[in-house]
Amino acid sequence: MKIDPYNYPIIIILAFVIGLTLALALGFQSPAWES
Amino acid sequence: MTTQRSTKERKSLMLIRKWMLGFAVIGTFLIGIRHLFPGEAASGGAFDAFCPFGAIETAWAYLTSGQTLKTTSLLNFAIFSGVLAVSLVAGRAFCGWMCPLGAVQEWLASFARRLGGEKRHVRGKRTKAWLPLSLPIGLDRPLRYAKYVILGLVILFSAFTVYPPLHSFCPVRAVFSFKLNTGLMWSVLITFIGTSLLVERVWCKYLCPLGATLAIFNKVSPVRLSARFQSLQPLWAL
Repeated sequence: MKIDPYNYPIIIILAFVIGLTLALALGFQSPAWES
Repeated sequence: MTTQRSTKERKSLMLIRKWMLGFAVIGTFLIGIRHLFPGEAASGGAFDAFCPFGAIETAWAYLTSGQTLKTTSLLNFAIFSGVLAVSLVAGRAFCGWMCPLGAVQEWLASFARRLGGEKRHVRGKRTKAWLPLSLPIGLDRPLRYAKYVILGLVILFSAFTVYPPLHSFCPVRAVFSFKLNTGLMWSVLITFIGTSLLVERVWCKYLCPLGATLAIFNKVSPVRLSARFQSLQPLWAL
């Protein structure tokens, strides 16, 4: 399966943001940020 | 026609990569510079708390006692999750596209090439500059396993330490944290700059334990830059 080369940066940025956001939402964050 | 189009695409993609690495470097500098401002030191935790590898360093302590090592926090796991997600999708893409330390090493290697007599380097082409040096294969191959040894030692020592095992030797802290308060940190910084000028991405190739961790995911990740794309054919394979 071929994908557009321009999608590569988008894919890795999206993957990073999704992974980070999910972990933050699950409570993995700095104690200073907890409310 | 195809070659012209793909040459343009390749250049654009490399430009995007440069921008991404630039943002990573600036972002890490901003995280490091916080403690120079009054009242900002504790904001979000210590510098180490933003390190993805800090999650591996503090994992044992967290799993066994529910507490993280000093200077680390649960934020390390969040950052590591982001890096892990990238690796699951695209192998070690983080190292080449997002790692600030890798970017600094590339810039140092580029500077070394200029010192070595090359005015303009074309990525992928054999360089005429005598710097940075290429290690002989007999030395290069076994040295590439050193990062796995370091990863094993870090995991082992993380069971006995209060601070993350790499806290005092970490080149990311030496370069970005603006806290060169020990002779050891200065030594790490000078060694890092010196070796990066001599050998391109020396830390990534031979010593980086995060790279060793992410290398595992190279086997399972479905997306990668096709080698054919590097030779100017825009074919990407899943």
